[in-house]
Amino acid sequence: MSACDLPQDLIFEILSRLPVKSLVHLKSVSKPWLALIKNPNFISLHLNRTAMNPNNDAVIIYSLSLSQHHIMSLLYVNSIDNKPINLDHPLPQIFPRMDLVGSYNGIVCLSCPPNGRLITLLNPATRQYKVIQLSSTSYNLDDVYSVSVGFGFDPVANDYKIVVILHMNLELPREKIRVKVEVYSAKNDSWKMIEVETPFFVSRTRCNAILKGSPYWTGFIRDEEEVSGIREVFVLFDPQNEVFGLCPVPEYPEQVS
Amino acid sequence: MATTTTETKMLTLCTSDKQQFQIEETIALQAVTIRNMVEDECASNVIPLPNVNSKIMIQIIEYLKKHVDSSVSKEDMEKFDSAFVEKKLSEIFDIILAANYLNIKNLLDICCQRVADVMKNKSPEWVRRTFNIVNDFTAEEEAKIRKEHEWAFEGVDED
Repeated sequence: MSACDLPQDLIFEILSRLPVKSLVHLKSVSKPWLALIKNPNFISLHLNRTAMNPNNDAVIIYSLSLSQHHIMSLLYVNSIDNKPINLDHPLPQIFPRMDLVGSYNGIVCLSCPPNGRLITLLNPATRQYKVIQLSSTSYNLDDVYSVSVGFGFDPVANDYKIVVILHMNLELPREKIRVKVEVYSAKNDSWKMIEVETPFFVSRTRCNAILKGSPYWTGFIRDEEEVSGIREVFVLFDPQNEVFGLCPVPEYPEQVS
Repeated sequence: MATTTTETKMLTLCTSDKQQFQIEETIALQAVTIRNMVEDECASNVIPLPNVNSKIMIQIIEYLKKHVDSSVSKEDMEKFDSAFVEKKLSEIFDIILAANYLNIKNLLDICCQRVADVMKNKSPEWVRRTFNIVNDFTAEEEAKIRKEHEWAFEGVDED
């Protein structure tokens, strides 16, 4: 017999065990194979299998912003030659600095500070990228005090989300915190505004960490009980329910003088 | 004189080419399809396996006999598995079909992994030949898609 007798689901089984690079060059086998390799169910199966594989190559990405240069490389930790592979940066080098917002499931989010322009999603394994169109809401940049970008993943909808937190001009600590939030869904390729229940302030241009698909920031909320009028908190975004959560930071012991 | 013997329950498997294989039930039950047939009591003493021929059945029994033996260390089992899949791809494809039908997950896993390992650095032309796939791209389409993914062809075996 020949392998053409293998049903589609068994072809799926075999291809889901191939490294990404092989899948990329096998896209040119035939139209049905191209469709299969691009099929979202196949991508999920491949991702799960790769994530579960204990011999999975860990990939480290460097992003350096040396004046006018972006340098990104991939390092397959378990590969024999163990040499980092330099990647072409998706964006031209006229943009002096790009933030590496974070990565999840091997998808990297980049943005150009301080205004969170040129948000780009990059898949270093397939070397594909997409520059995300900005939301249609226009702000007077004079009105915007700071912008912070976060990146997350909704496992239920299998959707990557980008959160942009805009702080409108404010004077800490006595003035009211003004925050606007827009969320981008990769699945819908669209932005929407979401309401923030407890206003918070984050100062960094990108999230501090991504844990289990949720971006986290260190931030502040108003608290009249504090002498300063503000209290430090961790701010997290839940990409599935599109709500923010606040958690307390560890209490530090009183400083010993 | 009375002797005590532990009675080993045997099952008879009948392959597509009407060959009969007598094997211990504990060995055969590793195949979920056979287990379900026995549990549902829809199988008499002879279990028909119309999708598996005797040549493949012999190899599958060899695999099942090894895997039922709990005294084999994990390391030895891995050695056995990697030696077991050292076969021609056409044979591996037959075993994949049989393992899928009989529902023997580990066997299916190691055989699919074997095919993937062999395919990893093979050219699209090799894959088309091996999988009997017709290239339905036009020359322009193929050239375009290859150019877009040029980097991924680095290190691919020469055809």
